[in-house]
Amino acid sequence: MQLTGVRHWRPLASLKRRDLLLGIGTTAFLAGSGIGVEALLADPGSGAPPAAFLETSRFVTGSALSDEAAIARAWSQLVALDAGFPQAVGRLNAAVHGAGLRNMAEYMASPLAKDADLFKTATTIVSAFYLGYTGTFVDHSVKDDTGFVTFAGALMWRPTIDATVIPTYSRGGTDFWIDPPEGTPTPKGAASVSQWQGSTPASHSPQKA
Amino acid sequence: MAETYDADVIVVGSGALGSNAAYELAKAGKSVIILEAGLRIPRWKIVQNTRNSSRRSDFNAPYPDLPWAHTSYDNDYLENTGSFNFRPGMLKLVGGTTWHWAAAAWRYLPTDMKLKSTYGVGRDWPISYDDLEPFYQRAEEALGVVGVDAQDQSGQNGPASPPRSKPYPLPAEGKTYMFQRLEARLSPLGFHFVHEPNARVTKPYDGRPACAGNNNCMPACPIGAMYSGIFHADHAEKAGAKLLTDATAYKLEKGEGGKIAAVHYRTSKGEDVRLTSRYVIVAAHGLETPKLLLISDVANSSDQVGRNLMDHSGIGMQFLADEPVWPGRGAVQQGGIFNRRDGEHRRDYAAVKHSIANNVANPAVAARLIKQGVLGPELDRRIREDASHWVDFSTTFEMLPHATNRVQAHSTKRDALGIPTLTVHYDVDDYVKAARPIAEADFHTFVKGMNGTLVEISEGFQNRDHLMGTVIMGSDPKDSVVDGDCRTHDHPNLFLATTGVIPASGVINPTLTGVALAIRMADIIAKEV
Ligand SMILES: Cc1cc2nc3c(=O)[nH]c(=O)nc-3n(C[C@H](O)[C@H](O)[C@H](O)COP(=O)(O)OP(=O)(O)OC[C@H]3O[C@@H](n4cnc5c(N)ncnc54)[C@H](O)[C@@H]3O)c2cc1C
Ligand code: SF4
Repeated sequence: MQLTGVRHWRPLASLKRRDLLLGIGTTAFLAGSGIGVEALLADPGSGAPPAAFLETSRFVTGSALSDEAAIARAWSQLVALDAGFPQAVGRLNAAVHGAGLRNMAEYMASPLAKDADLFKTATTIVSAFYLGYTGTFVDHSVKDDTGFVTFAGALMWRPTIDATVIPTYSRGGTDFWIDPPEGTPTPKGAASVSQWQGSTPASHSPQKA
Repeated sequence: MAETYDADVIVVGSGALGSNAAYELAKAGKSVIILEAGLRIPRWKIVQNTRNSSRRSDFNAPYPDLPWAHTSYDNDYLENTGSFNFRPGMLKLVGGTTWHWAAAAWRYLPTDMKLKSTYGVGRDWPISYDDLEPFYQRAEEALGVVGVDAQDQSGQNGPASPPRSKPYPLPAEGKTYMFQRLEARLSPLGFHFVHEPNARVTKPYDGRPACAGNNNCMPACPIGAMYSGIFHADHAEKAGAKLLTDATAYKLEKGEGGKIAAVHYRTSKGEDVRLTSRYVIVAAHGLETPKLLLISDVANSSDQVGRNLMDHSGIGMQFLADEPVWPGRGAVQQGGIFNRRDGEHRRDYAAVKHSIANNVANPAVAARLIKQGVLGPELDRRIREDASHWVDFSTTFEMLPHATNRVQAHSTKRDALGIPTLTVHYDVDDYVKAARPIAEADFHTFVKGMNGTLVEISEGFQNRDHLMGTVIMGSDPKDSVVDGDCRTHDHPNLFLATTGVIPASGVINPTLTGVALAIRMADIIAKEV
């Protein structure tokens, strides 16, 4: 299973990949069973997302995207928010195929990236899978048009997964946060003081859980 | 024949303040009934709701918003009439709003409590810091507060302050790398960094595990390392208190001798129950406490109930530092810059607290980049780059009490129980507005000191969820609701356990003070009952 987008940094062994990257397990399972994700999603008449949505979503996010429940949630909400969304996805999909683009780096460098409508569609899909929700958040209100897509599977966590937590999960034990993530360059200038001045002796030694 | 009562003491509200008072009284052998409007929800369910919410930055979202027990973000429940959308987080369930607080557990300074006599503005507390000190200690022990004993929390880089009779119950957590880096580079510019005492335990304590840095204190600590009122709701029950859920108090019944004779509550099924007790404590949050008094027409001979509403209205600023500081490792906050917490400037403009937020930055960073049109591999690269360099300041201002800033029972609207909803009228005053440019000048110095790039300084003012002043404490019954013991001037057996009693807001989070006052009042009641 290859994860596009994850580069030289490595996930900490203490974090369960299943917890962090929703969908990997599902895809592995499907691969093992010989059933393709697309086959599962393409259930005509069920309101399930068309293959074009899955394909376009994978293209714009540069990700394997295999959590079918999350994909189905994203699709149904994006359609609910904008009745023209299926057509917009179709146009983006056709344009990408038509231009023979292989990945988002090529898309961003191509004239297609200047087409505002296509770019908006790409951005809407990226937003849903990166942030893990659709719609627009309204602060200090119980009502808005947001819809849940995924939490731990949100792609925005991926680029820093070696360094920071996905909130509600943990890593490293009490006081792990004293040290910077591995590989952080040593800063020039004034040195850091890692202990609180004037602490009681007990508080000078990190308490391990 | 001696009069019989349903309980020695009825406590309305099972939040941190009510539950601590109830626990102390139950421990002292008194019979206690706690009335709680909301339901009991297990922690795992709240964590699950958090993960399944599409509204990640709404700290109320994982909690129930019931037709008879609304959260404060329901516009139908809390209506604003002033220039500011006053909308602090408030929850209704067993344990109350500290389910989603951030556990900052500060003591006021002696000068905070004597603001008028020291700086000629606002009001003085009728009690002094020395009166409260032993109860601060007990409150810290109850909540499991971690702190640095020898620090000058006034931010003036002087000797340890405020004075303490004993060390903090638990040692401070390790300093985050981000805090270390900001301190290393900004303290040479004269900024005093202060650790934030907090109720997030660093060792197993009172059945709670040590904080593991899940970075989710707001809206819910998944493991219960962070204190919340639920712990003392449970302790109170174990000590013999009777906790009734789905029991919204809607009337305090006046009896003979100016006393409160009974409390009436209503369930969501429409059942009305009348309970009697020798003493009553209303601990229903800084907005709901005055509402209950107003709709019961009690404790208001001064016409101050619901008035003098204060929050620590604030502003925020984000920038990108020139080095990776990696916010998001550890708890969501750990302290900040306190130079302007105290000093002569308070004669002219509000005290200022600059807190450094330590949330995992990815949600804010990713949303911003996507909005800017950054997509493709560049998006992942920039998320890592910006999330590691992100610095987020959350600044608060001291408020002064104004009679016109007020919460009232709605004149026409009713909730599902037929009980009035809330209206709030709130304007940010010139004392705060005068402090804003000073705080913004600091912001620019922080950015420059970190050779950074400013992302944004927020417009207007932001809610900070700290309710004060609404049942204001004072020595004069003509202009205050409770005395220094939190006893209502008008009713000898009615006490209020709420941060709403606080008459001078200072600039620090008020809950520890509320708990200290609640424990103090429980001692007083225990002697009298
Ligand atoms: C996001 C956020 C972060 C915060 N961070 C901090 C912080 O770091 N430090 C700090 O000091 N403070 C913080 N606060 C403020 C803190 O949460 C409150 O000061 C504290 O919860 C007040 O406790 P309380 O017991 O007075 O009220 P609550 O905790 O609100 O409890 C009141 C209880 O009364 C019940 N109730 C209400 N009306 C009735 C009725 N009529 N009948 C029966 N029951 C009723 C409610 O259901 C509730 O359970 C924060 C608040 C928020 C929202
Ligand atoms: S950092 Fe995590 S473990 Fe610590 S208090 Fe916050 S949520 Fe709980």
